[in-house]
Amino acid sequence: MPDREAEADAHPGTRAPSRSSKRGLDWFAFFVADIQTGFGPFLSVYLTTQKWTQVDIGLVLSIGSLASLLGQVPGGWVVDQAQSKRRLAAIAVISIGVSALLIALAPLFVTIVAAKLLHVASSSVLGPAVAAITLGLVGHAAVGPRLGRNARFAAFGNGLAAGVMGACGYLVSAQAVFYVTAVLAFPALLALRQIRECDVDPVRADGGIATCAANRGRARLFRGRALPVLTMCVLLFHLANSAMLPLVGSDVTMRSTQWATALVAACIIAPQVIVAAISPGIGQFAQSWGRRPLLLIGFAALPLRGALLACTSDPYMIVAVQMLDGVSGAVLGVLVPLALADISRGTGHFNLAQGIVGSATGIGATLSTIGAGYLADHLGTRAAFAGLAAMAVLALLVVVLLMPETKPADE
Amino acid sequence: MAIKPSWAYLIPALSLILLAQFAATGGAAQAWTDGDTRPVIPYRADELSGTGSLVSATRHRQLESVLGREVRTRLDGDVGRIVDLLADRNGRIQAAVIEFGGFLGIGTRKIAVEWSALTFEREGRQPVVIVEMTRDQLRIAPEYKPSEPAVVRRVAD
Repeated sequence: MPDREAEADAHPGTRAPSRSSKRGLDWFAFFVADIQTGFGPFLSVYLTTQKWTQVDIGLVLSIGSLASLLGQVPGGWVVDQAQSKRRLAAIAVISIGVSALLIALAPLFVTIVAAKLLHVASSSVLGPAVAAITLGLVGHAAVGPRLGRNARFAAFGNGLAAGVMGACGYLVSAQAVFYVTAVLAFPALLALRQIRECDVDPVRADGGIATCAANRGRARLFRGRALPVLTMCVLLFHLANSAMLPLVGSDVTMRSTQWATALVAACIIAPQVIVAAISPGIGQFAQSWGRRPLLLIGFAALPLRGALLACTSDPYMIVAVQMLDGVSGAVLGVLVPLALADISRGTGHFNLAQGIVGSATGIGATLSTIGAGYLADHLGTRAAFAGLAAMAVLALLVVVLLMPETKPADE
Repeated sequence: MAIKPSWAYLIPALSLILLAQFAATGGAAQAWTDGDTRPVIPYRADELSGTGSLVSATRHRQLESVLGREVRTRLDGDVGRIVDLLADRNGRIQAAVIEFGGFLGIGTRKIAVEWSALTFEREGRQPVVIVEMTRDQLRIAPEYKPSEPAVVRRVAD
């Protein structure tokens, strides 16, 4: 099959990526999502089984989130500097595997803190590196549909890993989840090997042309309002979004008699099915309609979800409303890296830009948990959903009023 | 009965767990002292602390560690895990904090359950902790928050 996307590429000097590289990227996105699942809220469940006190668990989690906030920008910068994004991604995957193994083998305070920091550092590199490999592989002209495809495979990975690791934690042991994570690093590395080094153009992967000096490139990145506005949008989005799922889970746990665990699992996995279903379409439409209309759809789904959650207390309705999480998740998953690729085009700082937006995600998520927790304690769960919905309206307004179309006019 | 929690109360609670783990004294964890205590073994504390005083220690076969243990109800199987203990001013454990429900750590609720509502039994060789309540009684229990006075779920409620 002739590759239409690659032929349309603006860089005539580079050849179309091989079939092996494209397949490799599919499965790399899949396994990267897999190896990240255990490190979320599940870590505190595991530490509880290891007789950790609540104080120590809280301390480790705080150290982790602080390090993550500080690590995003340097992580992106490192990806920009690296000649081989593949090698850097391989190091990050191995480090995450080692971190999982450390957590499983030695749940002592020192080792868990070290493992957590190793995981945070690796993740801050791995996230941008996957997008960088994608851009280096297919180029700006074809990156939209390709990011959509990545998001589909990542959603498959997320959904499957949540199901398998949830069952594993329940049926075998919490420790087993981290052994499984360490083992899954191997297929991730095999998938990465399928991506051919010669197919990943390192200059394209940074979103740049090497003609201008680094400083000029960085100045160009901050020229115009697109990057600060997008950063603001992402911050507000996560301020509204991050606390919703935990709050939904806790609400369903309290309200459902028989099927609580299955319903909470459905609240996590069902949105991933939606993401897998619609992401490739979103990538295609972003190419033909432009970025703004899709961003509007994604940012509109969030206040709708918050408002519906504020009105509903039926557990089955809540699961249905969670489907909207898949809509905004798919849009953010595809459009944020795509808009960043647009904005950073010709600067050589695509990954630094990803790091900046990554920090905004972290800040938004942290404040979201604090704010929603406060509202839920003092005014109740439904009021907390209403508060989050209000933040989501603010995020939508910023997109409507300030976010420019980033799609280049010549495409 | 509500217990006023503060960080200071965590210290007696945690030291009680340690005491139970090392089986150092008899009175710390009354739940398991029925039967099977071996004769008192006198030993010289100066080997450990250099004070020279003679103290006694009892070896308990049935003392068990509490933190992190799975809790089940009579009907529904596993419902959660003990994550903390709450003691009163006299150091007596009044409630266990149980992390209840959720999937992959998302959607868990912490609830405080009256200590006397827990029974420690054995299924073959496996020690099990059973809470004498139904899943429904547990799920509607008010959430436990370390910064506020604990509301303890009681069997009779």
